[in-house]
Amino acid sequence: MQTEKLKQVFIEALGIDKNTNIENLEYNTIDEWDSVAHMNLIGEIEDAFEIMLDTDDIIDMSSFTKAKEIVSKYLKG
Amino acid sequence: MLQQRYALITGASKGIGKQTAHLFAKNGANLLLVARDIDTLVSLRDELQEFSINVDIFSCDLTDENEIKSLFIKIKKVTKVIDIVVNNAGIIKSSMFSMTNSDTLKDMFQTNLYAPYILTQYATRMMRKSPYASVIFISSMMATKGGIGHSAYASSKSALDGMMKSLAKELAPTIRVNAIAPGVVQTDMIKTLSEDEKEEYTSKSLFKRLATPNDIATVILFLASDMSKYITAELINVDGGIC
Repeated sequence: MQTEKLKQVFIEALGIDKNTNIENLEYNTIDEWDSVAHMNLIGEIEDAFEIMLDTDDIIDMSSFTKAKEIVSKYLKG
Repeated sequence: MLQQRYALITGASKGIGKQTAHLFAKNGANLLLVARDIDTLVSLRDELQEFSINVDIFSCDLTDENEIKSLFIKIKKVTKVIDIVVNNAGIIKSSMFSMTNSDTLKDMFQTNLYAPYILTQYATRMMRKSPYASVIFISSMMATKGGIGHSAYASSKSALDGMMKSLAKELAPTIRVNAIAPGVVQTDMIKTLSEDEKEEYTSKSLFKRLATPNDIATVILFLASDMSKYITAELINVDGGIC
């Protein structure tokens, strides 16, 4: 899993500081990661990793840790 | 008017969808045309060769969510950004309320509501970077006026109107979302109407004629273009004043 690449996507898509503790980031716990930003984040993840996420996975993507797990699943194909 | 923009049109092989494809092509849009029948799309692509645009065609059963996902995987190989989505594909089955079974009701909602709902979920993920993003749903005058023998169809289109209004609020200001409510249009879909019904709708129209696909397509073009850039969450009746 390309963790650093995913972190960079989070930083750019959510517009957060690069020193943020991204590993512990959870949905709706910071102003920058609300429902609108979530869809932008999904789009950026899809573009960066060239995948197409299922809606259930978009709903489940409630933290950076979970995002890592979900993206890994798609990359393993 | 739509130069350099990518427009996805469902139900593109005939009727309103086909006419919209022609009108968009004349106005410079690159086209992503979707329908079940690939043969008619091939013919349409040939017809559009005179325009200096890209035309990509996709066969897809929009009632199958997996096919919708596959469709967008293919589209992503063509373009990273979609600017315009015209949710035109739909079905109509006419039956009296007491003669409408649950399968008919489900079919109607599957094609007229669930399919555009799911398709637009995928599409809007590719529209967020477009400065021209516009989603257009094709509703029906039946959604607000109702019609004898059309309870299932009217219900599905009415639900579509509600979805459009909500979506417009969620996606603003990045993506505009609107709908058109045509009256009775001269397409294959009116085969379900009896001659008496056609005559009735013709006489009720203030123009004393049924709508043509072009009557609807021109309004779709308006909603897709910058001419409507301050319009969202709007349902436009294009029904010849039928009341």
